[in-house]
Amino acid sequence: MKIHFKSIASVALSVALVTTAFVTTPATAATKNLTIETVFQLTPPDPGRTFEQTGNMINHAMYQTLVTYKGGDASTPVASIASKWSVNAGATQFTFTIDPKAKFSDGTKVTSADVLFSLNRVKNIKGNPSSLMAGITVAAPDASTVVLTTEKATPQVLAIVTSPSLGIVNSKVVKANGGSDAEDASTSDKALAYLTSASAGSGPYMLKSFSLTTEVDLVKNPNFWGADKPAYDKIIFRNVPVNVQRLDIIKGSSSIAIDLSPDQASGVGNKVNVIKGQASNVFFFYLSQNSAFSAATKFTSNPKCVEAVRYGINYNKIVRYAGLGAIQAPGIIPSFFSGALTQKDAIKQDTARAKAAFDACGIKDTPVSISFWGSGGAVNGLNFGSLAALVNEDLNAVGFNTSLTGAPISVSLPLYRDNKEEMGLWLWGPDWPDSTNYTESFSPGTKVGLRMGWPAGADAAITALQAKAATETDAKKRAALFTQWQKEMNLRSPLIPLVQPADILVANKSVLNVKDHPIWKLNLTELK
Amino acid sequence: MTMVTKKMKKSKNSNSIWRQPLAVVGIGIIVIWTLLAIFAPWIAPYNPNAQDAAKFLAPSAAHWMGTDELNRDILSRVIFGARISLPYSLLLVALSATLGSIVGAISGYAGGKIDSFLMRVTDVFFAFPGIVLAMAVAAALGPQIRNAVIAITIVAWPVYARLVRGLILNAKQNDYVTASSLLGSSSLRTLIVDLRPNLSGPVFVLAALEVGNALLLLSGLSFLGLGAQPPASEWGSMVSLGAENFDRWWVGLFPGLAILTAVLAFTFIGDALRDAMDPRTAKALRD
Repeated sequence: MKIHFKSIASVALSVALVTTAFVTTPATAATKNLTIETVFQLTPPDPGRTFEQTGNMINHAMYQTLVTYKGGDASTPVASIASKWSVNAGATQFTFTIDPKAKFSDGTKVTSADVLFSLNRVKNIKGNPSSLMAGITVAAPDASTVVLTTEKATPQVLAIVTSPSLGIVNSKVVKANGGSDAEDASTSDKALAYLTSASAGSGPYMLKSFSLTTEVDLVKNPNFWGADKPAYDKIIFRNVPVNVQRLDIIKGSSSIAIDLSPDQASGVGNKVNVIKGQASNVFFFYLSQNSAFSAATKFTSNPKCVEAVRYGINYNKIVRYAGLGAIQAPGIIPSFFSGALTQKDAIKQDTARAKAAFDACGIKDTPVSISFWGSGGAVNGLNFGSLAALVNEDLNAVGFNTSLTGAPISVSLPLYRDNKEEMGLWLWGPDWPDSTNYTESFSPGTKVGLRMGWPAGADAAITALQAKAATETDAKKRAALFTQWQKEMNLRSPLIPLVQPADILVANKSVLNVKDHPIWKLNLTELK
Repeated sequence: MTMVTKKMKKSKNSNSIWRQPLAVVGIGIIVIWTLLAIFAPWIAPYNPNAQDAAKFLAPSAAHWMGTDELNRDILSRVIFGARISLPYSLLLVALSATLGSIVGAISGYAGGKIDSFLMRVTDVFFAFPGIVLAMAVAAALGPQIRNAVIAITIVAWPVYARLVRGLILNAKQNDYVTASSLLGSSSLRTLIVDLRPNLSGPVFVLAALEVGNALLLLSGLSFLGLGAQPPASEWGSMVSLGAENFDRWWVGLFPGLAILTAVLAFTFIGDALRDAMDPRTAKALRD
């Protein structure tokens, strides 16, 4: 009898569980979720501190900027928090009028005070994105007007303010949680912890949970004021290796895979859409110019050594590895930006010239290490280790005694940023969609210039071109300056652009309006 | 003593590894891999790092195991891979056996507080999952095959320490050890001359059994990017490249088979050695 009762109890329990499952199913089904898989390039989602691709994508959905771009376009700004804007003739004053309908996720109105606080906070925190605000002064003459002023002509300001790092935060909320825009904000701002647990923006989505290494969840902002209402109740970002992204998108357990290479995207079946474009990332190689750093850099700082590397690399092989749609990067500025070089300007491998330069350089068999993001680091499906192996093979053929030193990003990135590499293999994705991002980042004495050990004054002609391009307001003249700047860089800089990969997004067919953007990759608001 | 020796000899003969088919298979496989490793430059059809072929060629007459994403011949890389995977696995087993045996011997012989301290240290290492600790150490030291060997040695020595300590505790109760001490032998002499013969067999058996594990751990670290660096043809990192390209089954399959055969062979040899040199444990396991 006991057994009989047990059996009845078991059956009853099973029926109850199954019934419960069916009862709860409709509620679950009503929730529209979107799962995006990518290899995280992420820091905590404080817009003032975020400068990485995954972070940009997430912040763009949570924090609106003064102006923005539609779809995959990165040339014509459209209204966002600012409904109107104007630029003076000298491109030194930019006036924005805040949309009276704009409100934060807690329902409070967006005012010029919020914009003032947000932009000054980015500037004074002195994080990576602070460089965006260099030379820009913010004023709020009334509650709905914001004026950005620059000392010299800076036509790229409209492009700069689209950066998700310049997203507008709710100043009252952030201040209440330790935020500061004061000049000492680099030490006095304590809002990072709060902004890692909650968001304080006006975008269509809000932060639900955040893990730097596994998953980030966003939920719909019920108070979103814009015309394009968010289509999904929840968006889940998962940190997933590329090969698993491929498997998951094929079997339907994710909605979008971000990082597949052209090779990996081929043969994913007809249940998904493959959106192909040109990546805004450019992979590049450099030789340290800091002659005091090591025995090897005494030689890598010699222009002849740079020449030996520049002409020793087999660029065609690298492009073949990168797959269909990839192109050789003829310069550091990607193909779709103003003044980009054409393929006929690209450096061609010339082994005889490389070997002659190698002999003249005098490095002989001095060991040199090539540093890169190892441990499987990959972007646009291109594995840094594989790319490094390709370059290494070519350099060995020229005569260099190179070895590869890959390390996890947490180790390799600080070495690169602190100019502690002999040779390095990295990539650059634009911080704002304008060619000035490159002239202002790669010239002598600028951010990457210093990372390469290339100080201010190292090349007066390149610096002069950089300065001219920064203030030129005529579009044609600007383009010509960018072109000239790159040609000079290809002659004398320690920078060697390698490849601009194809950009592949693979999306489930149920997800509509998937477009690739050079800054925030995906516009989550536009996904339907 | 004479009877005991005769019994042991008889036991050894009846369990000779040459009478065990699996052991012979294992030895055969390892001999083949060893020959391939030694004569790799003459046997491999191509330079393992040459990027001259086409990308992702399927296995064919020209490339028996196909080519990888960097246009390299996989057969050549698998053959050259034996030059990294096998010697480094043996090296790290030798290092961890030596380190563990020294710690275990000191612990067991000294006893008291030294024993307690060393065994608590051993417990700490036992408390961490091996692969996780190895990953942490390898990541901290920097991804390199040498650092991977150090990392795995740090993970692998405690098992030898425990074994040797137990053996010493048993052996030092014997009269001949007491007699040796009474005759004025130093501690070092007692350990090396009197006790070491009791240790070498079981330690050797354990080491033989552990070579397979070591190879797997080493390949695992390389798979995760924490071991061999490109362009080294190491089996674990080759499987990792294969995992990124599931459609090209040959990229990961052949280095995977290399790991499988080598690990299996070492396991067969280890089992046979245990049967031959430590029949009591073998019998207990069989029963």
